[in-house]
Formats: sequence, C-alpha cells, structure tokens
Amino acid sequence: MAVFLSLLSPSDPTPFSENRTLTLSLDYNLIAKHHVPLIQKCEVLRDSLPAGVTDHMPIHLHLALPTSPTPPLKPSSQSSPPRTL
Amino acid sequence: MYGKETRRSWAWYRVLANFTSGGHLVTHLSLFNDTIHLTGVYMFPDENQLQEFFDTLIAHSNHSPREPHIYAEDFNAYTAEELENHVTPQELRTLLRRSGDVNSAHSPAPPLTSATVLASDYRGRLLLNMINSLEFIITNGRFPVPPLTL
Repeated sequence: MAVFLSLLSPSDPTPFSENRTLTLSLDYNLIAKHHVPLIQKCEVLRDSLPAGVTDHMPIHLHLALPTSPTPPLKPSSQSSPPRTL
Repeated sequence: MYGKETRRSWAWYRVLANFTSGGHLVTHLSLFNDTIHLTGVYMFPDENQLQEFFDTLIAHSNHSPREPHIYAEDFNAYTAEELENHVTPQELRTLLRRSGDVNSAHSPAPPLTSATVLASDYRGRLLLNMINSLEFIITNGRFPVPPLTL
C-alpha cells in the first residue's frame, strides 16, 4: 500500500514539492494524541490503485506544522573551503 | 527482509536512514526550523519475536513532545475498531471514533492473551498495547473526508 505523507505549512496551503512526498508500504498511520491538532486531513484513497494489486490502500496524511522564519544562508557562513579538483 | 520480499521492500530505500535487525527504520526530516520523526515499519507475517519487535519500537519513541512522531506501518495486524484506551469521552468529540475493519474475524486478540492465538490477532493486540502505552492514535479511518460536490 502506498502512503503519501504531505506536509503543509499553515501559511502556505500548497503542498511541498514532489521530493517531500514519501511513498511507503503501510497499513497504519499513528501519531501522538497531543499532535492531533496538526492533522489537516487523513484520507484513505480507496480508488487510486487497480483492483487486485494490493489489499491495502493509499493513505494521504496532511500535517500543518508550526513554522518559524528561516534565516537566509549567508555566503560567508560556508564552513569548509570550496572543493577543488 | 529485502531478500524475502523485495517487492514490498524497495520503497523503504527512499526514506531509509537507520535500519535495524528488528525490521524497522527511523528517519528524520527537517522542515523549516522544526523536526518531525517518521518511523516506517514492516513486519513479516511469520515474524516470531513479536514482543521484542514492539519493545524496540517503543524504545525509539523517546523524542521531544514538541516534535511530531509518525509511525507508518504495515504490521499485518488486526485491530478492528477498538478504541485506544487513553482517549477520553471528551476527546472523542474531536478525535472521533475510528472506522476500521468490521470483519468479525479481524478482531485483535483479547487484552490478556498469549502468543498462542492467531498471529494477526496477537500482533493487533501488541500494536494496541504499544499505541496505548505511548498515547498515540491511529489516524486512518478517523477523519472523514466530505464527499465531493459537483
């Protein structure tokens, strides 16, 4: 069964790009009870796979994670010298 | 694990960070300034060290309470619609009751049981024990999606 874990920013309803979508083979999604308010949606996608392929179904879990501004990287913050050949 | 069932196992490589002989993996994602923990699990139907398996999972749940931890699993375990025992009636107003497998043959083993019962039933009981001890909930089947309107 495929599970699509999409993570949403509260200030940006657009899902993260494809490389933040995880596809796993699973049948249960668990989360701590005190983190339930983060759940935007948890949807079992019943018709997304051809019948007979698997007895499991994809689950789409959307979480709204608390975020804070990320400071831009400074060029001078590079910790190692440029790689040379 | 990989040699026995490669069709299922290939997907784990995508998020693999740390793999143990217990058959589970843990990966950490940094999102903005926060961290979430994702534990992906596959348990073989013929796994015979069930209690040790769940003990390992519980031991890896020791994260900061502010960092969400998601278990995404294929346990081959029956839990039917049993409610997590730590969910209070007041919390059920927002958590809702989980809609699970209503097949009567797919119920978890009774709470006080031994490994002599059917494996899927017993795995379901151990899974529920883990969920209850960690105060986790099963998310799938719990948050109904409104039907699409045209």
